[in-house]
Amino acid sequence: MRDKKKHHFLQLAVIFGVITLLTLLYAWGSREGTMSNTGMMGASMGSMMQSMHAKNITISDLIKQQEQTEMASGGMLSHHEGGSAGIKLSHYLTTGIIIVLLPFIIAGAIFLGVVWWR
Amino acid sequence: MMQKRWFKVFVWFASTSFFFLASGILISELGPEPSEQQTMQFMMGMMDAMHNSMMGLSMSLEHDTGLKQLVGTASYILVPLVILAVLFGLLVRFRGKRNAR
Amino acid sequence: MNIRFDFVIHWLWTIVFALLTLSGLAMVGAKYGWILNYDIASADYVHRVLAAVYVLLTFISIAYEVVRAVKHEEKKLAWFIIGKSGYQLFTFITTLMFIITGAIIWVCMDSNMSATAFALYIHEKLTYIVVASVIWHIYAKCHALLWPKKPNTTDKKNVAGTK
Repeated sequence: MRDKKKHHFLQLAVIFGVITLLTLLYAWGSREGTMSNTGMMGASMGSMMQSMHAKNITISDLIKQQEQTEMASGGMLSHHEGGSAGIKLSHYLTTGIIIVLLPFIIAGAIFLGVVWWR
Repeated sequence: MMQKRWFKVFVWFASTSFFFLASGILISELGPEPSEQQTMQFMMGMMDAMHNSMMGLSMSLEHDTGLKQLVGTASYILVPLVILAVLFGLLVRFRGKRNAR
Repeated sequence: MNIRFDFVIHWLWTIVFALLTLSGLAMVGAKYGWILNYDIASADYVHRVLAAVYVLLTFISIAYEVVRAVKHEEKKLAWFIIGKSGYQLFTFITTLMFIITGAIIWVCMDSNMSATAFALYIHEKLTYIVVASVIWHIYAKCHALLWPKKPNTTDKKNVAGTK
Protein backbone atom coordinates (compact mmCIF):
# COMPACT_ATOMS: atom_id res chain seq x y z
CA MET A 1 0.00 0.00 0.00
CA ARG A 2 2.70 2.40 1.03
CA ASP A 3 4.74 1.54 -2.03
CA LYS A 4 1.79 2.23 -4.26
CA LYS A 5 1.38 5.67 -2.75
CA LYS A 6 5.00 6.62 -3.24
CA HIS A 7 5.09 5.08 -6.69
CA HIS A 8 4.38 8.29 -8.61
CA PHE A 9 6.93 10.23 -6.62
CA LEU A 10 9.57 7.61 -7.30
CA GLN A 11 8.63 7.71 -10.97
CA LEU A 12 9.24 11.45 -11.13
CA ALA A 13 12.41 11.19 -9.07
CA VAL A 14 13.89 8.46 -11.25
CA ILE A 15 12.99 10.18 -14.52
CA PHE A 16 14.45 13.49 -13.45
CA GLY A 17 17.44 11.81 -11.87
CA VAL A 18 18.23 10.12 -15.17
CA ILE A 19 17.69 13.37 -17.11
CA THR A 20 19.99 15.23 -14.71
CA LEU A 21 22.67 12.58 -14.95
CA LEU A 22 22.56 12.42 -18.73
CA THR A 23 22.67 16.22 -19.05
CA LEU A 24 25.60 16.41 -16.65
CA LEU A 25 27.46 13.73 -18.56
CA TYR A 26 26.74 15.49 -21.84
CA ALA A 27 27.82 18.86 -20.43
CA TRP A 28 31.09 17.46 -19.12
CA GLY A 29 31.63 15.51 -22.30
CA SER A 30 31.11 18.45 -24.63
CA ARG A 31 33.26 20.61 -22.43
CA GLU A 32 36.41 18.76 -23.44
CA GLY A 33 36.06 20.11 -26.96
CA THR A 34 35.53 23.70 -25.97
CA MET A 35 38.40 23.55 -23.52
CA SER A 36 40.97 22.81 -26.19
CA ASN A 37 39.45 25.53 -28.33
CA THR A 38 39.82 28.17 -25.67
CA GLY A 39 43.36 27.04 -25.09
CA MET A 40 44.15 27.75 -28.74
CA MET A 41 42.38 31.07 -28.79
CA GLY A 42 44.90 32.49 -26.39
CA ALA A 43 44.38 36.08 -25.37
CA SER A 44 41.05 36.68 -27.03
CA MET A 45 38.31 38.85 -25.60
CA GLY A 46 36.56 35.80 -24.22
CA SER A 47 39.42 34.39 -22.24
CA MET A 48 40.27 37.85 -21.01
CA MET A 49 36.76 38.04 -19.60
CA GLN A 50 37.17 34.64 -18.05
CA SER A 51 40.41 35.52 -16.32
CA MET A 52 38.91 38.79 -15.14
CA HIS A 53 35.84 37.21 -13.64
CA ALA A 54 37.56 34.11 -12.34
CA LYS A 55 35.24 31.22 -13.18
CA ASN A 56 32.68 30.95 -10.39
CA ILE A 57 30.77 34.04 -11.26
CA THR A 58 27.68 34.82 -9.21
CA ILE A 59 25.54 37.91 -9.08
CA SER A 60 27.26 39.15 -5.95
CA ASP A 61 30.51 39.29 -7.87
CA LEU A 62 28.75 41.21 -10.59
CA ILE A 63 27.45 43.70 -8.13
CA LYS A 64 30.86 44.26 -6.60
CA GLN A 65 32.26 44.77 -10.05
CA GLN A 66 29.53 47.27 -10.72
CA GLU A 67 30.36 49.23 -7.63
CA GLN A 68 33.98 49.55 -8.61
CA THR A 69 33.18 50.77 -12.07
CA GLU A 70 30.58 53.14 -10.75
CA MET A 71 32.89 54.56 -8.15
CA ALA A 72 35.61 54.88 -10.73
CA SER A 73 33.41 56.91 -13.03
CA GLY A 74 32.05 58.95 -10.15
CA GLY A 75 28.47 57.71 -10.05
CA MET A 76 26.90 57.85 -13.43
CA LEU A 77 23.34 59.03 -13.31
CA SER A 78 21.86 58.95 -16.74
CA HIS A 79 23.30 55.55 -17.53
CA HIS A 80 20.50 53.62 -15.89
CA GLU A 81 17.68 55.92 -16.92
CA GLY A 82 16.54 53.71 -19.77
CA GLY A 83 13.19 52.04 -20.05
CA SER A 84 9.77 52.87 -21.43
CA ALA A 85 6.80 54.35 -19.58
CA GLY A 86 5.24 50.93 -18.99
CA ILE A 87 8.35 49.63 -17.29
CA LYS A 88 8.56 52.78 -15.20
CA LEU A 89 4.94 52.39 -14.13
CA SER A 90 5.38 48.76 -13.13
CA HIS A 91 8.57 49.69 -11.32
CA TYR A 92 6.74 52.28 -9.22
CA LEU A 93 3.84 49.91 -8.64
CA THR A 94 5.89 46.90 -7.57
CA THR A 95 8.35 48.91 -5.50
CA GLY A 96 5.46 50.72 -3.84
CA ILE A 97 3.63 47.48 -2.99
CA ILE A 98 6.73 45.87 -1.56
CA ILE A 99 7.91 48.85 0.44
CA VAL A 100 4.49 49.70 1.85
CA LEU A 101 3.58 46.11 2.78
CA LEU A 102 6.95 45.14 4.24
CA PRO A 103 6.51 46.88 7.65
CA PHE A 104 3.06 45.37 8.01
CA ILE A 105 4.35 41.92 7.11
CA ILE A 106 7.16 42.18 9.64
CA ALA A 107 4.80 43.50 12.33
CA GLY A 108 2.26 40.78 11.56
CA ALA A 109 4.93 38.10 11.69
CA ILE A 110 6.15 39.37 15.06
CA PHE A 111 2.56 39.43 16.32
CA LEU A 112 2.05 35.82 15.23
CA GLY A 113 5.41 34.91 16.77
CA VAL A 114 4.29 36.32 20.10
CA VAL A 115 0.88 34.65 19.95
CA TRP A 116 2.15 31.27 18.71
CA TRP A 117 5.18 30.98 20.96
CA ARG A 118 5.08 27.43 22.38
CA MET B 1 -11.70 19.66 -5.91
CA MET B 2 -8.65 17.46 -5.43
CA GLN B 3 -10.45 14.66 -7.27
CA LYS B 4 -11.12 16.66 -10.42
CA ARG B 5 -9.25 15.38 -13.39
CA TRP B 6 -8.02 18.76 -14.67
CA PHE B 7 -6.82 19.60 -11.20
CA LYS B 8 -4.82 16.40 -11.04
CA VAL B 9 -3.16 17.42 -14.27
CA PHE B 10 -2.31 20.76 -12.70
CA VAL B 11 -0.90 19.11 -9.58
CA TRP B 12 1.24 16.88 -11.77
CA PHE B 13 2.40 19.88 -13.77
CA ALA B 14 3.34 21.79 -10.61
CA SER B 15 5.23 18.81 -9.14
CA THR B 16 7.04 18.22 -12.41
CA SER B 17 8.04 21.87 -12.63
CA PHE B 18 9.56 21.69 -9.16
CA PHE B 19 11.45 18.56 -10.14
CA PHE B 20 12.67 20.45 -13.19
CA LEU B 21 13.84 23.34 -11.00
CA ALA B 22 15.66 20.97 -8.67
CA SER B 23 17.41 19.19 -11.51
CA GLY B 24 18.20 22.59 -13.03
CA ILE B 25 19.99 23.56 -9.83
CA LEU B 26 21.84 20.25 -9.73
CA ILE B 27 22.90 20.50 -13.37
CA SER B 28 24.11 24.07 -12.94
CA GLU B 29 25.92 23.43 -9.68
CA LEU B 30 27.60 20.17 -10.63
CA GLY B 31 28.16 21.01 -14.27
CA PRO B 32 31.33 22.39 -15.77
CA GLU B 33 32.37 26.01 -15.34
CA PRO B 34 30.65 28.34 -17.78
CA SER B 35 32.46 28.85 -21.03
CA GLU B 36 33.48 32.36 -21.97
CA GLN B 37 30.67 32.48 -24.48
CA GLN B 38 28.16 31.70 -21.77
CA THR B 39 29.70 34.29 -19.48
CA MET B 40 29.53 36.85 -22.25
CA GLN B 41 25.90 36.01 -22.93
CA PHE B 42 25.13 36.34 -19.26
CA MET B 43 26.84 39.72 -19.04
CA MET B 44 25.01 40.89 -22.13
CA GLY B 45 21.73 39.76 -20.57
CA MET B 46 22.57 41.68 -17.41
CA MET B 47 23.33 44.82 -19.41
CA ASP B 48 20.06 44.35 -21.26
CA ALA B 49 18.25 44.09 -17.94
CA MET B 50 19.81 47.37 -16.83
CA HIS B 51 18.47 49.13 -19.87
CA ASN B 52 15.23 47.37 -20.71
CA SER B 53 13.91 46.16 -17.38
CA MET B 54 13.34 47.44 -13.89
CA MET B 55 16.81 46.52 -12.66
CA GLY B 56 18.28 49.73 -13.98
CA LEU B 57 15.47 51.78 -12.50
CA SER B 58 15.92 50.23 -9.08
CA MET B 59 19.64 50.95 -9.30
CA SER B 60 18.84 54.65 -9.55
CA LEU B 61 16.51 54.53 -6.56
CA GLU B 62 18.74 56.94 -4.67
CA HIS B 63 17.95 59.67 -7.15
CA ASP B 64 14.19 59.15 -7.02
CA THR B 65 12.89 61.46 -4.30
CA GLY B 66 9.35 60.06 -4.29
CA LEU B 67 10.35 56.44 -3.76
CA LYS B 68 13.11 57.48 -1.39
CA GLN B 69 10.52 59.25 0.74
CA LEU B 70 8.39 56.11 0.67
CA VAL B 71 11.34 54.03 1.92
CA GLY B 72 11.90 56.60 4.65
CA THR B 73 8.24 56.53 5.70
CA ALA B 74 8.17 52.72 5.68
CA SER B 75 11.23 52.45 7.92
CA TYR B 76 9.82 55.25 10.08
CA ILE B 77 6.58 53.40 10.83
CA LEU B 78 8.33 50.03 11.24
CA VAL B 79 9.51 50.52 14.84
CA PRO B 80 6.17 51.73 16.28
CA LEU B 81 4.39 48.98 14.35
CA VAL B 82 6.67 46.31 15.79
CA ILE B 83 6.20 47.62 19.34
CA LEU B 84 2.45 47.71 18.78
CA ALA B 85 2.54 44.15 17.42
CA VAL B 86 4.40 42.85 20.49
CA LEU B 87 2.05 44.59 22.91
CA PHE B 88 -1.03 43.50 20.99
CA GLY B 89 0.28 39.95 20.73
CA LEU B 90 0.89 39.77 24.49
CA LEU B 91 -2.62 41.11 25.07
CA VAL B 92 -4.17 38.47 22.82
CA ARG B 93 -2.16 35.71 24.50
CA PHE B 94 -3.08 36.87 27.95
CA ARG B 95 -6.76 37.07 27.08
CA GLY B 96 -6.64 33.67 25.43
CA LYS B 97 -5.15 32.07 28.55
CA ARG B 98 -7.71 33.71 30.79
CA ASN B 99 -10.53 32.52 28.57
CA ALA B 100 -9.18 28.98 28.62
CA ARG B 101 -9.23 28.82 32.41
CA MET C 1 -18.69 23.26 -4.84
CA ASN C 2 -17.03 24.60 -1.77
CA ILE C 3 -13.54 25.94 -2.37
CA ARG C 4 -11.68 26.94 0.74
CA PHE C 5 -9.60 30.07 1.16
CA ASP C 6 -6.47 28.26 2.35
CA PHE C 7 -6.73 25.87 -0.60
CA VAL C 8 -6.80 28.72 -3.13
CA ILE C 9 -3.88 30.51 -1.45
CA HIS C 10 -1.86 27.28 -1.37
CA TRP C 11 -2.07 26.75 -5.14
CA LEU C 12 -1.72 30.41 -6.12
CA TRP C 13 1.36 30.41 -3.93
CA THR C 14 2.67 27.31 -5.66
CA ILE C 15 2.35 28.88 -9.10
CA VAL C 16 3.94 32.17 -8.06
CA PHE C 17 6.77 30.44 -6.22
CA ALA C 18 7.57 28.14 -9.12
CA LEU C 19 7.73 31.05 -11.57
CA LEU C 20 9.78 33.13 -9.12
CA THR C 21 12.26 30.29 -8.73
CA LEU C 22 12.49 29.80 -12.47
CA SER C 23 13.14 33.48 -13.22
CA GLY C 24 15.39 33.85 -10.19
CA LEU C 25 17.58 30.88 -11.05
CA ALA C 26 18.27 32.29 -14.49
CA MET C 27 19.82 35.34 -12.82
CA VAL C 28 22.04 33.52 -10.30
CA GLY C 29 25.09 33.44 -12.51
CA ALA C 30 26.56 32.54 -15.85
CA LYS C 31 26.28 28.87 -14.92
CA TYR C 32 22.51 29.22 -14.58
CA GLY C 33 21.74 31.46 -17.55
CA TRP C 34 20.75 28.55 -19.81
CA ILE C 35 17.52 28.07 -17.84
CA LEU C 36 15.93 31.07 -19.59
CA ASN C 37 18.33 31.23 -22.52
CA TYR C 38 20.27 34.20 -21.08
CA ASP C 39 17.29 36.51 -21.38
CA ILE C 40 18.06 38.27 -18.11
CA ALA C 41 15.88 41.29 -18.94
CA SER C 42 12.68 39.22 -19.09
CA ALA C 43 13.74 37.20 -16.09
CA ASP C 44 14.32 40.37 -14.10
CA TYR C 45 10.96 41.82 -15.17
CA VAL C 46 9.02 38.67 -14.34
CA HIS C 47 10.88 38.23 -11.06
CA ARG C 48 10.09 41.75 -9.90
CA VAL C 49 6.43 41.76 -10.90
CA LEU C 50 5.84 38.35 -9.33
CA ALA C 51 7.74 39.45 -6.23
CA ALA C 52 5.04 42.07 -5.68
CA VAL C 53 2.36 39.38 -6.08
CA TYR C 54 4.27 37.14 -3.67
CA VAL C 55 4.48 39.92 -1.08
CA LEU C 56 0.79 40.65 -1.55
CA LEU C 57 -0.15 36.98 -1.04
CA THR C 58 2.05 36.80 2.06
CA PHE C 59 0.45 39.94 3.43
CA ILE C 60 -3.05 38.55 2.87
CA SER C 61 -2.11 35.24 4.54
CA ILE C 62 -0.53 36.93 7.54
CA ALA C 63 -3.49 39.28 7.90
CA TYR C 64 -5.81 36.26 7.75
CA GLU C 65 -3.85 34.47 10.46
CA VAL C 66 -3.74 37.62 12.63
CA VAL C 67 -7.53 37.94 12.44
CA ARG C 68 -7.85 34.26 13.35
CA ALA C 69 -5.48 34.70 16.28
CA VAL C 70 -7.44 37.66 17.58
CA LYS C 71 -10.65 35.63 17.36
CA HIS C 72 -8.90 32.69 19.13
CA GLU C 73 -9.76 30.29 16.32
CA GLU C 74 -7.78 27.15 17.03
CA LYS C 75 -8.89 25.07 14.04
CA LYS C 76 -5.90 24.12 11.92
CA LEU C 77 -6.01 25.15 8.28
CA ALA C 78 -4.76 22.05 6.51
CA TRP C 79 -3.89 23.77 3.24
CA PHE C 80 -2.50 27.04 4.55
CA ILE C 81 1.02 28.13 3.73
CA ILE C 82 1.86 29.51 7.14
CA GLY C 83 1.20 28.04 10.52
CA LYS C 84 2.65 27.38 13.93
CA SER C 85 4.32 24.04 13.34
CA GLY C 86 5.89 21.68 10.85
CA TYR C 87 6.29 22.58 7.20
CA GLN C 88 3.93 25.54 7.62
CA LEU C 89 6.31 27.10 10.14
CA PHE C 90 9.26 26.38 7.86
CA THR C 91 7.48 28.08 4.95
CA PHE C 92 6.57 31.02 7.16
CA ILE C 93 10.18 31.61 8.25
CA THR C 94 11.75 31.07 4.83
CA THR C 95 9.15 33.33 3.19
CA LEU C 96 9.97 36.11 5.61
CA MET C 97 13.67 35.64 4.89
CA PHE C 98 13.03 35.70 1.13
CA ILE C 99 10.97 38.87 1.36
CA ILE C 100 13.33 40.72 3.70
CA THR C 101 16.51 39.82 1.79
CA GLY C 102 14.71 40.54 -1.48
CA ALA C 103 13.68 43.98 -0.27
CA ILE C 104 17.26 44.65 0.84
CA ILE C 105 18.50 43.73 -2.63
CA TRP C 106 15.82 45.88 -4.21
CA VAL C 107 16.36 48.99 -2.12
CA CYS C 108 20.05 48.86 -1.31
CA MET C 109 21.35 48.03 -4.77
CA ASP C 110 22.12 51.69 -5.28
CA SER C 111 23.37 52.63 -1.84
CA ASN C 112 24.84 49.80 0.22
CA MET C 113 26.74 47.25 -1.81
CA SER C 114 27.92 45.04 1.04
CA ALA C 115 24.36 44.69 2.34
CA THR C 116 23.19 43.81 -1.15
CA ALA C 117 25.92 41.22 -1.61
CA PHE C 118 25.13 39.62 1.75
CA ALA C 119 21.39 39.60 1.07
CA LEU C 120 22.00 38.09 -2.36
CA TYR C 121 24.06 35.31 -0.77
CA ILE C 122 21.26 34.45 1.67
CA HIS C 123 18.57 34.78 -1.00
CA GLU C 124 20.41 32.41 -3.34
CA LYS C 125 21.36 29.74 -0.81
CA LEU C 126 17.90 29.81 0.69
CA THR C 127 16.48 29.07 -2.75
CA TYR C 128 18.40 25.78 -2.90
CA ILE C 129 17.25 24.78 0.57
CA VAL C 130 13.63 25.66 -0.14
CA VAL C 131 13.52 23.89 -3.51
CA ALA C 132 14.91 20.78 -1.82
CA SER C 133 12.28 21.14 0.89
CA VAL C 134 9.55 21.45 -1.76
CA ILE C 135 10.69 18.12 -3.21
CA TRP C 136 10.43 16.66 0.26
CA HIS C 137 6.99 18.24 0.60
CA ILE C 138 5.90 16.54 -2.64
CA TYR C 139 7.25 13.27 -1.26
CA ALA C 140 5.35 13.69 2.00
CA LYS C 141 2.13 14.61 0.21
CA CYS C 142 2.55 12.37 -2.80
CA HIS C 143 -0.88 10.82 -2.42
CA ALA C 144 -1.99 14.00 -4.23
CA LEU C 145 -0.34 12.55 -7.33
CA LEU C 146 -2.61 9.51 -7.37
CA TRP C 147 -5.16 9.60 -10.16
CA PRO C 148 -8.81 9.29 -9.20
CA LYS C 149 -9.87 5.71 -9.69
CA LYS C 150 -13.49 6.33 -10.52
CA PRO C 151 -14.99 8.75 -13.02
CA ASN C 152 -16.03 12.17 -11.75
CA THR C 153 -19.70 11.47 -11.20
CA THR C 154 -19.22 8.82 -8.54
CA ASP C 155 -16.36 10.79 -7.09
CA LYS C 156 -18.52 13.68 -6.06
CA LYS C 157 -20.63 11.34 -4.00
CA ASN C 158 -17.54 9.99 -2.30
CA VAL C 159 -16.29 13.45 -1.34
CA ALA C 160 -19.71 14.46 -0.09
CA GLY C 161 -19.90 11.29 1.93
CA THR C 162 -16.55 11.65 3.66
CA LYS C 163 -16.73 15.38 4.39
